[in-house]
Amino acid sequence: MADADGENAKILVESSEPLMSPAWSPDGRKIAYVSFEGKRSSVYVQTLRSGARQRVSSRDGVNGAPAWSPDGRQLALTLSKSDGNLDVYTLDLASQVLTRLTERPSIDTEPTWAADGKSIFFTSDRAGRPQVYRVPADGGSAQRVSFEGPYNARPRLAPNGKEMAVVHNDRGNYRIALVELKRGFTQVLTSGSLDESPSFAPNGETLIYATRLGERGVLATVTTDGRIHQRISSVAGDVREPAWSPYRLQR
Amino acid sequence: MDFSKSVLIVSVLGVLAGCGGSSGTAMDDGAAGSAAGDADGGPGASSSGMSDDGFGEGGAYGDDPGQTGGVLDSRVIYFGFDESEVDADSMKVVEAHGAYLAERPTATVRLEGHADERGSREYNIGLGERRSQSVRQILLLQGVTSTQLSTVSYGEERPAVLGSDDEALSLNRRVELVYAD
Repeated sequence: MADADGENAKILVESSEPLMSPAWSPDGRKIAYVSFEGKRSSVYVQTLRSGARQRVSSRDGVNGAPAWSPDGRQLALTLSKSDGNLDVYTLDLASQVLTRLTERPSIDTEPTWAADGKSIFFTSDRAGRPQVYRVPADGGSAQRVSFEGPYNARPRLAPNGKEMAVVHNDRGNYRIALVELKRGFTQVLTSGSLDESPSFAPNGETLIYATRLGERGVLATVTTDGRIHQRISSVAGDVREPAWSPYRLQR
Repeated sequence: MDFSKSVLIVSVLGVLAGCGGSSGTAMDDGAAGSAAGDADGGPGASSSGMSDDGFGEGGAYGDDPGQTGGVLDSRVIYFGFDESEVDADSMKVVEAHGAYLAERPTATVRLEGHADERGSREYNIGLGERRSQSVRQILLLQGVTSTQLSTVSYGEERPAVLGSDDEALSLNRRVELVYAD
């Protein structure tokens, strides 16, 4: 965890196995993430104040891409279970009830919730290559919502609910784009070749994302009108997967 | 503007996964959610003398065939961009491992799937898993039992080779066959 300018970095979790996909709970008190300790993927929830953590999913196969519902009661996540096929599920943290949302042989992953908690956006390659789809949070049929370009993945909704940031293939370069949900109009915001992991600031006016400086992973921001670009002075090492804290962070 | 400006990040110290790096995690586990364990096979089989299958004895350690100069020395299967089908040359390697495992019902192998660094990370977990599953299916057809096999996908998180040129990318699109010690 660090300040938005990269200063005051504090280690929350350390591992010699990979860690991925950190996600803030809506109240800012917990984080969910994926850990490969034990040479398998598992989803953990960790309380920031105490450091205590709980393994919430370690099923056979892939456990990944945790995303908190707006009321903090559920996690959407990706599981492959024993059939080896990645699909999106929701897990009620109190009751442990698991609800399956997709059932295709395609890779369905990277869920993220709409602000009203009623639908979930996710990445699917059911049409051949990754595009973004929306499905009702309690199940139903999925509708495609990205239409420009051969690759759109890893959606994150803007606070205003009207657009989403995605990883978009722009003539062979992986860049951050803003997709307007009503008409699918897509605006490419960044200019790297391996840009990824966009996250909105709470005021919706800036995106933070991961990019490359030579071989090194660094963070950068861009305003959602595409005009102002900044690089963030990073912490040591190779930095990736930024997630901006919610508006009211309680410490 | 009063909002607290904090950002979670993932930072990797050390160059390739598997290099040094900090020691294990600090925190206690709380009660786990339902944790279906891997069904690993039993302890590695001890080698039991010469067989007629041309492979010779198993390696010095458990299930591992060791390095004998034959086709089983190949432990990595490579894939084309966006591909998860095993090509004809690689098929021979996978089938050889399948025959080896089918002869040794207590031997186990972990199929570690990987993707190159392009595109989003969790989708790349999916590509790595698809590749592991592809190799797994071939092994099952060779008569290996499912309890002998486990899969994991690291997506783009554990590159074999750093770099963004085509050669580096192609060396990262792979499945590694890792025998139990």
